[in-house]
Amino acid sequence: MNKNVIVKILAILIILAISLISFVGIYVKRGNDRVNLIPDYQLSKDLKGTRTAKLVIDSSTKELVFDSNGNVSEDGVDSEGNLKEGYSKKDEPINPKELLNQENYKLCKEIIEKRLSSYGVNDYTVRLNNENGEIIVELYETKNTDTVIYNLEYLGEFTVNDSETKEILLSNKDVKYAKAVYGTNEIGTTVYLSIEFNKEGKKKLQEISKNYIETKDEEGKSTTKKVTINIDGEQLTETYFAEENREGLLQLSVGSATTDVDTIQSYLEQASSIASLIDSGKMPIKYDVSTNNNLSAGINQDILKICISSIGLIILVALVYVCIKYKVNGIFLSISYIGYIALLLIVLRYTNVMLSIDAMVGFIVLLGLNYIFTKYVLKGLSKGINKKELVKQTYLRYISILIPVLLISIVFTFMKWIQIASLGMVLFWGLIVMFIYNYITINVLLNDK
Amino acid sequence: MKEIIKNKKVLYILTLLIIVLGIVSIFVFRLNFTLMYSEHTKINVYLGKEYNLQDIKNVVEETLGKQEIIYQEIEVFKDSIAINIKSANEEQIKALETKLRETYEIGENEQFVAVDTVGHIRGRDMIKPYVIPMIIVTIVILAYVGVRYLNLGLLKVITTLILRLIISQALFLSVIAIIRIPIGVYTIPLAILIYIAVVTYTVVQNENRLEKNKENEKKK
Repeated sequence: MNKNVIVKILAILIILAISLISFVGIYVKRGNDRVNLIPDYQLSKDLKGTRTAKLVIDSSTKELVFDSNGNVSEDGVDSEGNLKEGYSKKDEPINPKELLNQENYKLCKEIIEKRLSSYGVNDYTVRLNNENGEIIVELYETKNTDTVIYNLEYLGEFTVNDSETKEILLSNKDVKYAKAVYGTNEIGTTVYLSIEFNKEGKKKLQEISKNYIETKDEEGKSTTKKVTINIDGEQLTETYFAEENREGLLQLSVGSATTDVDTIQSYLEQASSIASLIDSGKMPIKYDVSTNNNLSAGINQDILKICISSIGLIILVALVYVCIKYKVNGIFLSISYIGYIALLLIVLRYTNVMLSIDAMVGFIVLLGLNYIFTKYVLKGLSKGINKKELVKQTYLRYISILIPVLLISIVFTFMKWIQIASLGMVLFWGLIVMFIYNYITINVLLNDK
Repeated sequence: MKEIIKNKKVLYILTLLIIVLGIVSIFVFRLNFTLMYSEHTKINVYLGKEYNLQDIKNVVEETLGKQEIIYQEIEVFKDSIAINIKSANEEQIKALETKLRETYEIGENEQFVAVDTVGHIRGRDMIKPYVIPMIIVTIVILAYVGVRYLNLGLLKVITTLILRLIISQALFLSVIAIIRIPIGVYTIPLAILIYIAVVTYTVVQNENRLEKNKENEKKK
């Protein structure tokens, strides 16, 4: 048998094998189950489903102690919890009625969106019910999803207080930004919560750092005036200043570890979580997580099936047309076309590309471009252009045409939003596979006229 | 030639008309959103035992009537389901609850249905994540097109591409507004598809013109 024919048969067998592996899989028996050795597709939240949490306005009350002048007091209760003389108790709602309005609901929604972004959640939907202020958050499931959801319950009220009088010295409105940082020395790695204050806050911090210090009297007895740093009234730390702070930057140690990467990572997550709370601002209303469930994808499956079937049908008709018009070469390139789809799907599985509805656009573009590419080659061959020359011509022409698509794919790939990145990655891998795969198949499968 | 120019004029007028109609339609009738993107009612049913989706669909259709409904599994145990529906009154929900209680033999005092009103997704929230990537991509593509087809006239090439991109997107939005196609999960991907198609078409056209120019130069 002619060597050329053997190579062609072998190539077609390889394409068929790739197609089988991609569309069916490689199954092996493990215990009582059959397991596919080819990794599963990574699906985004619009195809796989979401973690959905409902946040409702906290309707609980808190007990407040008032002094004789009607001011809220912290000293009205003795060590046994009994009310002192001249003080009175009253239950007050956590969320006063005057705060429950659409303006504050919208503000809370915006702060929640900011928090989700700063937690690194790259695929979310936040829905607000304007009537009752309920918020539904839909997230792509990751290992931190629960932490992220329950952190939305915090008000994010940051305060620096006098440790004795509880006077608020600094608050959210004095903060420019907060972030988690770490420093490494010979002893190990220390993770800090770094808070930079704005112009007003910087001035205040400078004053505070002059007053809240350790002083010694003539007898050498030291007294220390301290501040507490709090989030939602919970004390993070109590400290004082060793020197005047002129930079407007406060760095609080969250924890340190020598070499344990997991411990350092956990401290970093803690610090980032607090930084996100401070950075995104204080919510005017306190929310509670009411339900927290996994929900399957909320898309109309029928429409999705119609879309996929329509694309399949169009491809089939186009390939039949090519087979009829270009005979043997048409049949070869039609087989190669199906092989391209199969190979691309395998590559997407192994490169862990997240597939979304947006990625479908990538597929449609790639299928279209590959079809035009295939047809251009077949047309050239039928005109009698030499195969080598034709490959050169086709690639030169297509590189200049495909550069904009390649640029789109590169820009989109580096975007954080999963839907966009997914489209970018599908396009990127699709173009790479198209160029290499088509080069091989054209050279191996096609005959000069 | 005259015929082509005349046809082009008709096409431009038609495009302009559709865009104007689309703008009017957006302001007068607003845009139409899909069930999951608009405010809707979500009925969460916690059956506590495995259900058959077709049975649930039959019960829902019987009690809530025929309308667009999207079902979502709650968790993975197939014992709870969320039924998304445009709206349902108390009577309908009560009827659904009674029917499901009978079908799945749920105790009289057991609370297994919870109803939520799900807020809509604002159009601007849908578009927001795409704005910066699209601006970056457009700038990069314009720079490429400007450099690559410099010989065809920088201003002409760039303005043609910008105009085509704007008009194609405006036309797409107008058609959606006029025909009242619901905006949903497929809308933005479709807009991106149109964007890529317009860019590719323009580039192919410019490549052909470039090739023609080269051939003309060779002939000279």
